Amino acid sequence: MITDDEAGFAEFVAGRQAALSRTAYLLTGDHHLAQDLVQAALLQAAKHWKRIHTSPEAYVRRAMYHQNISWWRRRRILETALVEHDSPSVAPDTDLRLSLDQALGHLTPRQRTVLVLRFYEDLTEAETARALGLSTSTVKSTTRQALARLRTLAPELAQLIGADA
Amino acid sequence: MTTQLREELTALADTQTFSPDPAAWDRGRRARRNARVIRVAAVAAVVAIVVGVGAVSLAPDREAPQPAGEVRGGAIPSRIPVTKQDFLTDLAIGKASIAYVDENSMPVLVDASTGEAHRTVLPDFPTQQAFRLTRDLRRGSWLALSPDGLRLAYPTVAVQDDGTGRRSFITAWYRVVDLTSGTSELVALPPGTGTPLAMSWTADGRIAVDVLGTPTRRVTKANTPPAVGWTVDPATGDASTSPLTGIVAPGGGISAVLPRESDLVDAVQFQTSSDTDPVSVLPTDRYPEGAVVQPLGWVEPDVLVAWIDPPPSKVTEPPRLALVASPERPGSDVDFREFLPRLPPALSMSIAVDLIPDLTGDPDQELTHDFSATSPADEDPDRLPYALGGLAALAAGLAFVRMMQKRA
Repeated sequence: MITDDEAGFAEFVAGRQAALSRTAYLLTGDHHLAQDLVQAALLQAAKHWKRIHTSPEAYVRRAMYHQNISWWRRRRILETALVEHDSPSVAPDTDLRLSLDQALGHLTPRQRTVLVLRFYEDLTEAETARALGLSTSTVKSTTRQALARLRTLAPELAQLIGADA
Repeated sequence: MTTQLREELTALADTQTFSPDPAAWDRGRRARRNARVIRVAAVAAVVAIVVGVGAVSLAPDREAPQPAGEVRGGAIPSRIPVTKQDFLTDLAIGKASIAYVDENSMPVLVDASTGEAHRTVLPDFPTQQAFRLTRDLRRGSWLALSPDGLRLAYPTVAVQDDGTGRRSFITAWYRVVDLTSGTSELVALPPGTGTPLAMSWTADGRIAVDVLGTPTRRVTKANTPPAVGWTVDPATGDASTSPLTGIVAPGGGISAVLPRESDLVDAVQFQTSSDTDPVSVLPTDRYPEGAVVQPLGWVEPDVLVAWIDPPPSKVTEPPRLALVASPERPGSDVDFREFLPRLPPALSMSIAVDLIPDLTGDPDQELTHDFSATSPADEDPDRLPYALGGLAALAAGLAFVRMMQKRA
């Protein structure tokens, strides 16, 4: 027997899964990790569905942002050695999109998350700060550092992000 | 700039689509149920630990003597505990086993039922200054506990200042406190008497005092008037002289003389109505040389309780109580027996002699009661490891609950 809550959850997932998947991919830069991230956030939402009184999407997205940073911290501990010695060299690619994808992969999760929220989710600095539990000035400085790093990593992205911050 | 970046990000994101696991709802609800079960179990475990540890700490130890609560009828404690910080103002404690005046001239009562010692606020009790001024006068205790432990008597010695800085002391009344009701009454002094040298109770419930008699020649420090004994009925105030001074034995045939503080004794001096002055020589091997021996009361017509206060020495020896046989009991099996060896330092001591059990002649007979064996379990140091273990278990339980909450 399907309850109202379950039906509402199913409706939400059906309607928003594509958008959530896209954001998850931009946050992680990895298809499988993105899938796991969405799954974990939805699991958490299902667990506390009755207690979610605001927008379920805002809840799930917020869970994804925080979960991603938490995972990255754990992965960093486990994978640092491998990254240092075994990471494949970045093949030169003239395609702008691939360059952006690779450059994003070299940002810290906080920098990447801030950029996704600011330039993909189109949140203001204040909304980004609220979503991540940071101060507005931190969001501002993190954005500036992230863009500067993208310019350094991929100068060909200058047409996307401008010559300077 | 941002528009282009957004377009590229959108295009990049669009390359990745996937469908979430359709079982997310079921898994989420199952996780919630599990978290609830774990949380309830953790809370129940913590409660069980707390209750269990509490039960272990507070329940009687099967190996130890079972708590008997209060000792019915009262008893002399085997050790006088340190006085509590509070001051006893409600005097209706029922019965006291020992009353003494501590080094600060503060009266202390030992509850006969619990063995606890309480500093006590007694109405009109002499001040520290009064005790200081009368140091050379006093020969025994001013604070007298009746043989049954139900009443206290003391003189209301007060210090007066004549305006020139010269102080004197005066006693207008005796006061008798009923420890059953907590009330007290004033009793008139025997006619023509003043501040007593010592106060005690007779076996038939009269107040006994030694006072200075009428001087027959010029009074000097070395030549004081002789002591005279009086007894007073506290109910009627009737006073009569006694043929004997000191602590008079039941029957009135013999009394133990109260020595002056300056007297060094190696024997208890007695006085009889036939004017003989026998002595009980104290055994030198057990009696601390140079100690002050103060008779306190009679356990039996020929067995005296004495307070033995050893002199200050390099080896600190606390005062103790001992039984001393009177010389009228030749061949007594109780010649000298210490039965309460560690008394607190005191200016004077008084004991409810009726609380000492009838003597059987057995040298190992228990004359006091160990109240610590019946004290609450939380005072038992053996239970400390249990309490610490309980706290550790509680902390572990709380940490477990916290961990479960985080995981949930």
